[in-house]
Amino acid sequence: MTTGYLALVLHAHLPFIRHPEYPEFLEERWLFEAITECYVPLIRVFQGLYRDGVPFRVTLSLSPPLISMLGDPLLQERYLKYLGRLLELAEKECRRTSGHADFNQLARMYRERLQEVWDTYANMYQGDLLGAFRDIYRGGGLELITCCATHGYLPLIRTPEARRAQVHVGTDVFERVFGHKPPGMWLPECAYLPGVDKLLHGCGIGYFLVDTHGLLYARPRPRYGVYAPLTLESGVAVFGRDPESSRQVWDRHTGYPGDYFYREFYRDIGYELDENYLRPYLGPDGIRVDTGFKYYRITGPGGEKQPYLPDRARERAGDHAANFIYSRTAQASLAAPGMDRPPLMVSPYDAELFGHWWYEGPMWLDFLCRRLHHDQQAISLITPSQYLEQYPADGPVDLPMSSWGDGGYNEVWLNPSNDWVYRHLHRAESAMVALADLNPGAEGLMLRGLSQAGRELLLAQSSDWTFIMRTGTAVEYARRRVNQHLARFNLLAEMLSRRELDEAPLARMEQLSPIFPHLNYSIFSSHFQVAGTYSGNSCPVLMLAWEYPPKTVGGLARAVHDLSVALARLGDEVHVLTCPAPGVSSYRLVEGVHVHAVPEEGLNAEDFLAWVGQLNQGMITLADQIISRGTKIKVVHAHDWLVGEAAREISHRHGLPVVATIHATEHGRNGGIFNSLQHLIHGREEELTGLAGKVICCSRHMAREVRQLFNQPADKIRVIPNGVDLAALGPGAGVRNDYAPGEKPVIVFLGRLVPEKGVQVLLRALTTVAEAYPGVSLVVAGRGPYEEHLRQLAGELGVSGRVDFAGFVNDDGRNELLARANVAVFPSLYEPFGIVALEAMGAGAPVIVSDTGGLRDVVEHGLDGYRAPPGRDDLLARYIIEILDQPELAREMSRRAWQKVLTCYNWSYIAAETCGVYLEVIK
Amino acid sequence: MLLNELRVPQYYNENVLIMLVQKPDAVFAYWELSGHQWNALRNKDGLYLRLYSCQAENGPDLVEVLEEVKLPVNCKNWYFNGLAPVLEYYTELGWKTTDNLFMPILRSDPVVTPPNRPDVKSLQGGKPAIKTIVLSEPGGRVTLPVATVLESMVCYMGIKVV
Repeated sequence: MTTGYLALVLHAHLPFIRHPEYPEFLEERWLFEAITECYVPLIRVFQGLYRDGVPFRVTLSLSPPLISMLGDPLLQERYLKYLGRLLELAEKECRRTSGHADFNQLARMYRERLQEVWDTYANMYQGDLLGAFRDIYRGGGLELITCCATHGYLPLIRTPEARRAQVHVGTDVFERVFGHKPPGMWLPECAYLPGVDKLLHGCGIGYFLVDTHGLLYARPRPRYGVYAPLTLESGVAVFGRDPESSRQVWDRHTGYPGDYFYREFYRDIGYELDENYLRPYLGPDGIRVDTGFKYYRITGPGGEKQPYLPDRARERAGDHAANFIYSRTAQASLAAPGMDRPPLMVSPYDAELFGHWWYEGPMWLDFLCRRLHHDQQAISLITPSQYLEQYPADGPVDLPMSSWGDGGYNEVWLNPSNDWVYRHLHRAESAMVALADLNPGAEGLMLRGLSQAGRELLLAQSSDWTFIMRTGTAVEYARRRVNQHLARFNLLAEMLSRRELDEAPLARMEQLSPIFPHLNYSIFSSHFQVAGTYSGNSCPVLMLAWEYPPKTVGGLARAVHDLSVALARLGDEVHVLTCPAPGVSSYRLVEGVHVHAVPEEGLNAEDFLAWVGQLNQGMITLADQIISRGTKIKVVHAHDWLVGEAAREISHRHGLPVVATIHATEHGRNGGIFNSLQHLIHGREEELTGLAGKVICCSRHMAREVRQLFNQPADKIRVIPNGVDLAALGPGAGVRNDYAPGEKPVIVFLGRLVPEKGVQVLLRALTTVAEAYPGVSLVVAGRGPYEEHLRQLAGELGVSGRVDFAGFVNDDGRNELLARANVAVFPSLYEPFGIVALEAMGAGAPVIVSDTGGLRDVVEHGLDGYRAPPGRDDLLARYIIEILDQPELAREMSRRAWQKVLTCYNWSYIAAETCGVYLEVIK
Repeated sequence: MLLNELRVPQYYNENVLIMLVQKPDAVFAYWELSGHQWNALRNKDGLYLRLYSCQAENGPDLVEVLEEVKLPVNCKNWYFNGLAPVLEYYTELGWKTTDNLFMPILRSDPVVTPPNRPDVKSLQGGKPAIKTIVLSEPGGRVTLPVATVLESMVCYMGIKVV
């Protein structure tokens, strides 16, 4: 009868170290030592269990760098040479120790062990240890999982794209070698950051592990502590490390590996015997190294050591296995009565502990599996996947950031010994994302260059380097590796951005770091996932919008138009239902979009709300007609509350899911709800968000507003910005070179003249700017009910002569204005999105915006414009003067702004992302 | 070209200000200013770094200046310690006008510090959680609170970083 389960999870990882440019390389020995002392001994343990009919369940994580090195012909060849030399040394040691019975017995033991390693590695598997792991996996006892591409420490990787690349590339490497997706992932350093689970989910990964506190600090607090897994919103499960079993094995003072009869790691003949005798077996340039020939046991805390006694050590390993089972049984019997399922104890360990650091580790594991099978029934081995199959996890929970490093968070990988790397790593991440975004579908040399840039970035991200810098051994090597990979990346990035790639250094880099031959650089693109989600799926959509060009009152018409056209270009069938416009037929096919107008005669009510009712009724009738003609509509996309009624009814009649875009809220527009009409509209907005399967907002600000106002769960809301059509910005769009303000700098404002656009703040700022730039002028382009007030204010402030109220401007007028603006200012007090600011950025004008609403998402302060606190004319004036004073700085900001518009606000990506939301609600 | 001899540059000539979480009570900020930005700062009296906190739930509207540091010359990064866990923070790098008005030139994205203890307000399923862990010590079994065990654990490859 099983009281509890034990999941042993071993993580095998070493950084990718391969130096073909040297005949031998000291740090390549890390792999060779691990193969000899850990991987082959573990393989032999598993083979022995199969041979003797002992069932077992162990989970082994093989990291992608390790997989890559184990499969690398050069390293295989070098390992065989290394092993050959060790066998030679073993012969010499048997002769040398012939006069000392204890040592001679040990020398012969080592010779026998090394011969076994040779048999397994060279004879049985011809150097292919991955084949050995595959065989053991096929036997059913071993669950194989993997890790991130280069063991990148995810909480300190800045861009989601680079984190995704770590997860995807890791999964891909595993799948290519083992023929199936990994069921779980060992997160590098067990380090979790909220959102990582979604990346795992995207790769079909079912679970991961965190340290004890990572799980215990989940919200809500887990009722079974670490004795049961939890699920996250994404559906991915998380397991927590059992602290007691960890301590028994890990702790160097009270843990098993510190037993006085176990082998002493730090007494190696490599440091003790004559240099001439050892020379062929030492490192390059005769550096003294571990040879693996260690003749002493730990003995005690002092420096005096006694010879190692293999039989006593073996007995102790057996005792420790028994003790481990006893402890687990005690734990399980205490925990089980309070649970509705058998408690699970998850014991994750670094695989290299077994055999390398703890020489008797593989033996202990062997005893453990055998005793669990033969001696008792209370504790059964299980893999995380099997436990999840039998006992579905509780959830969903919110899981906080954590790691298994000292202190439990990021301190090991971020401290004064290694913090300098992040400036360079983060810059390379951003550069890689931009390169991938700007070069979709690259071929030939560009493809090779982009992919190698991705490899160099991944290699630089390995958590091993920052870890080594912290612990203080081999620091110089770690620093050199980070420098090399990032400098190679920078060289490639610079050539790629000029589109002048020199093949010679590229080919050399490919040769030096031939990891991930199948890496596709597009994994770094900010649009990667979207494209993947979208491909091959079509979602005919009914788009409900009260305004649509040529009828254009606010920004909604243009946004719906651009989205619809972009969706149609992606191959979707888009039917827009909208108001009639004078001189336009009731049905048109424009730019691939079917536009259906509600008949004019049905819209005759004078009362606003009655008119809205008629509009919605008309839309319902149109939808009935479209669907009755056999069009297979799959989703209804409603824009703002005005069409909410139609969305509800169409959804109800035809069983269709609804996606709603909330462009702005009544509450936000008015700064609150003050009258009965506003109250009613607010209610309609609430209904629409409640009805929709997913709600799209154009900025993080709007998403928060919608979540708070209408009490909607965060997961229901997607932030997808509006896009900018760069072509519509005319030939002047792009980076300009003429920011020198000269005698008469021009400030431009574009927008409706309503109080919330904040022109009054700009007028007050103008008085200060004029003191520094007497020739300055302001063009206010736009119309609105507030115009007269603004004219009056300009007069009162004494700036009437500087302000040109230009009225409504069409696209050409706008482009012309932006082309001669020294700075474009958008001082809004409320702004859900701020498309005009983006257009100004796309046109190459330096921008200053209010630090509010959607403008916050658009402009990064000091990078691609300035953000002034709303209403603060003093600060606004200073930023305007700063832009006018510093034309070079303004140019730098404009260049970044333009690149952002080009890559982040492209309608085709936005349409694909929107379609991804459609697919979610259709599911 | 000797690819192994390549090194990262000291500067990239870009404006950037990034903040990272180090642990529940500490954050780290690093920055770089472009040449043009340095030109713009030529006549200013030094750089200041400000740390703000804001209620994560309410977004950056309810903000508080927690610390202001006048940065030493050539300083490129800063650690802020002694912070509260589960709170949103961001930093601004800027200069001061003669009338002591702080003018931010760069602002970091916000970060949220993680918790350093179990959440006291929520409990899954409303049942009491397992609060203690049984340890098999040489002298017999002892039961200890989870927090005690965690604090005494030696993590990561048996290496306790000091």
